[in-house]
Amino acid sequence: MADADTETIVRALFSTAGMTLTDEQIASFVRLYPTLREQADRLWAIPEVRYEQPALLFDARTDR
Amino acid sequence: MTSVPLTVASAGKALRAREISSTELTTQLLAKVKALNPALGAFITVTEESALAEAAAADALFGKGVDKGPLQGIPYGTKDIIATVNAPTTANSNILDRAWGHGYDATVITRMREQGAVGLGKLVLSEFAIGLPDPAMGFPVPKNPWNVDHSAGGSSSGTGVAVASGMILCGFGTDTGGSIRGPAAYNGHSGLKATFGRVSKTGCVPLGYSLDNIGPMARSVEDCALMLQVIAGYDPADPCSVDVRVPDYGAAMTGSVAGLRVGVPTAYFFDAPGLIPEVKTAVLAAIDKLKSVGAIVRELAIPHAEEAKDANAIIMFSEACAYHRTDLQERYNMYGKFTAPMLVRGVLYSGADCIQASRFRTYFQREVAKAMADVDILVTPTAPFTAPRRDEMTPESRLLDPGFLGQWNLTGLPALAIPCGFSNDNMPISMQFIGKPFDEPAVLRAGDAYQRLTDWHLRVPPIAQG
Repeated sequence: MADADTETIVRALFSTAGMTLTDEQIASFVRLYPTLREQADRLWAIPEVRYEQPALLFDARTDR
Repeated sequence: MTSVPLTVASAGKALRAREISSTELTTQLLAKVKALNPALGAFITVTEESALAEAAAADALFGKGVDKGPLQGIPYGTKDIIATVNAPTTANSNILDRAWGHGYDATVITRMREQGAVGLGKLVLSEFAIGLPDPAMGFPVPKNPWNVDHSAGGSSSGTGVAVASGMILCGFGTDTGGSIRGPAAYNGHSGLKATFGRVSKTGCVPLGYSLDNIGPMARSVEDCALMLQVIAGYDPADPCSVDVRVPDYGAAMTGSVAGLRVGVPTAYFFDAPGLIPEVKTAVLAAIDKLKSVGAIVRELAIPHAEEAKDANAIIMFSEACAYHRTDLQERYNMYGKFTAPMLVRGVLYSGADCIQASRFRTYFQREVAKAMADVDILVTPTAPFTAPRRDEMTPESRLLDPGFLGQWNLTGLPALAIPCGFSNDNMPISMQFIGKPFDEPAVLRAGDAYQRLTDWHLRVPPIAQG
């Protein structure tokens, strides 16, 4: 991923989240983003997780 | 100063033998706080007046022959992210509404009060239990009592510093990705993250809803067990609380590990790049010591341990970002300079990434259960290195380092950090015992047995001696 692409993505993500960061702050996340993305993508590459259920619990009752 | 008891257990004996009163003990510790806190930065609020009143009440109970249990008259501290009725809760932040937590106690504090324990005050943490200290925010900067140029760890840094330097005998930390065990490791004492759901987190500012734990920090494993006995148990006010019988933790600590089956997950936990040789050597020596007194040790494999650390981080940052999003939008610069850049990492993951991490969580939980089928506990280093210099730490600096803590938040398993040596530059080294769900007795048994053979946990930093 080219730096220019990364910067575009990072700026878009923060903009979508309604957060205004300085150019210096954005630059730090442009450096960080490929590592974070790689860490997240590794979880998608584990075949055993393909049909796994998420570890979420929801109880439809509200009186417990 | 060295005449003050070092542990809850020894102080309890002294109280019951009338060798010291709770008021005397509390007064001595308050004097230590006054002497050491300016240099070490452990306390945000010292509740001297209410502490002395609680100590007097404990003494009155002893005088009437009433003994509510091992924590009666024992001074303790509370990470300032947990609500207490007698002091404001700041989360070490200028963001948190000062009305938050006003006028009530967290469940764990209620239980400590019911036992007659003595609250000495509220302790420093990493802002909102994440990030690094920012001196510009107006809160004390915690310093490692073994070397004030080094980190006290995070996020329960104040509790770690206060226990290690003897300002308190025990205290509360919270742990979402290692925030009890990390400071326990860096400061040289014991710390326990119990099974998720074992201890109520009602009355604690959240970081990661599905990962947070409140737990004990103290010099000894025995002291952690004494605290756990009081705070463990079902709380209907906490949706994550689990109604499982609370065993007698003291009975589990037999002093023996004969026959205890110990698994050593060699891959990643003992060979990851970044694990320093001194730590590896000390932990392997500790395992040999356990083996020499009857533990049955064998190597095993935990698949995808590194990815588990990352999955824990993805869930934690996503959950934390949801809690903080509005404040990050409106008041980004009111957070510490190292806090906001960590909280906003949740923006950089997608919703699907977070659910994938949650699916991985199910998978990893099952794989760990399979790996532990024929052992009672696992042993790993707690941290891959000793406490780094404070001036070398940035939010990015640890991203690629190995981590041995978040895996056990992800699985929810009980994990106990205890000291097992010192480095050549006299910084504490720690190992970690991991147990099966709700089998805190196994990790406490192992930790206590090891501490009966060693004195690493009783060593006092030079700055706190004399």
